[in-house]
Amino acid sequence: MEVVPYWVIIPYGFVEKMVILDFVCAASDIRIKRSSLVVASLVGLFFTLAIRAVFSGNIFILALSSILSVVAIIWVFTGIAKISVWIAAVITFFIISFLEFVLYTYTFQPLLKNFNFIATWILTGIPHIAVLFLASIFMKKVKANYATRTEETA
Amino acid sequence: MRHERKRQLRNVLICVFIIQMFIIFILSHHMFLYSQGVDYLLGFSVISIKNAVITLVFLTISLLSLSIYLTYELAGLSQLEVELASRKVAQELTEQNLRLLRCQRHDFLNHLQVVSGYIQMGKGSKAAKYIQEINQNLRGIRVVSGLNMPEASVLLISKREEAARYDIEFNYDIRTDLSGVKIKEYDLVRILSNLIDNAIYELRKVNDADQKIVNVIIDEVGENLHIEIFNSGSFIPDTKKIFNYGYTTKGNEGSGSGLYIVKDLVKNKYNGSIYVDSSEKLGTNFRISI
Repeated sequence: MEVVPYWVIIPYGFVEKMVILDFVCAASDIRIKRSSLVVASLVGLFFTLAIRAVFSGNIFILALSSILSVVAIIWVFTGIAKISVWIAAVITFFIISFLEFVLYTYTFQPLLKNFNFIATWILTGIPHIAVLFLASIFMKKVKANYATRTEETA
Repeated sequence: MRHERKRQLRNVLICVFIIQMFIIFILSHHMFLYSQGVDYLLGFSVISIKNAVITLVFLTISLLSLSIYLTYELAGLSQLEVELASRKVAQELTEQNLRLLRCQRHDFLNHLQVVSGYIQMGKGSKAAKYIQEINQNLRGIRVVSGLNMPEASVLLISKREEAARYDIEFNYDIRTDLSGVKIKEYDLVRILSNLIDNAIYELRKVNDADQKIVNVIIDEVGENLHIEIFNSGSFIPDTKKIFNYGYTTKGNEGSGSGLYIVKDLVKNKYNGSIYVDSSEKLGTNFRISI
């Protein structure tokens, strides 16, 4: 089986981690500075890669570490560890797992006929990043709109 | 809230350090076991040297980034605390200034009543003399209020009022407008307030009203600022000890940090000098050059 090299995993994982953290923060109504988000993504990415290197194949530990690391990173970088962060982290994990599973099962082999392994791997990973990114933008817009309306009503 | 966050960040930093040590130990142990041909440890498979190195590298990058971020955040919070402390001092001085203005307004109305009384009684010369006395009194305030550092002006005026409450003669000779000095207003206020407070405290214990004098001289020579604060009441036998942290003559009232702060600011922050002359007959004189 082919292995995705680290020069692909690191930039891809960095963007993915940033989108995940942004989504969890937006869902749990937490404001995080952009610089903190970048450093947090870096920390989270390398932590996940380290865990993956030790427990590769152990889905339970990887899933647990993925949820725990998101919650822990948000706590360290913002000082907030409320229940909504846990809920958002779990929901994010299930969204990613579901989309990855569906895309890997139904699109990986067809795409592999036209693209090489690395391109296919990236293409099947992009949709869940896009979904989380758009969802976080949507949530921020809705919350900002709601806040404006509440202010106007008051 | 800020203190809580600072404590939290400090604890996380300590935890990160401990985790780093723990992980290095575990991975080194695994590498050793792997090189010895051991496949399982406590039911878990021993990871290969390659995987251990990869894990070590990634964890080091991750925890190092986290440590740098936490240190940076802690430094930022400390800086914020210093700024807040300086703003607090500025706010206190503004409040003092307002109080002073109210008092002066009150005094002014009283003076007007006295002058009006003299005029109604037909004692014009007494009214003129009274006005001259008030003018003399206000001249000192005019000199101080012309300083380029309003914080220092407010401090000197308020300390003058405080000294007057204890029958202490408070004189100042300000030979500069403080426009060319490098010292920050917040630090100048800390130095002056600590030394003047000590002088007033010592003179409060003196019974003879003629012996209760505080002289403050502020001068600018070239780029250097010279400050002299003299009080006629106190004698310090050992002038070296007084700058030690915790040294106080005020018993439970004092913290022993005032002169330590002064020395720290003058010597360490501004690379200046501080001298103390003390004698039983003349009193104590602090000379500072920054």
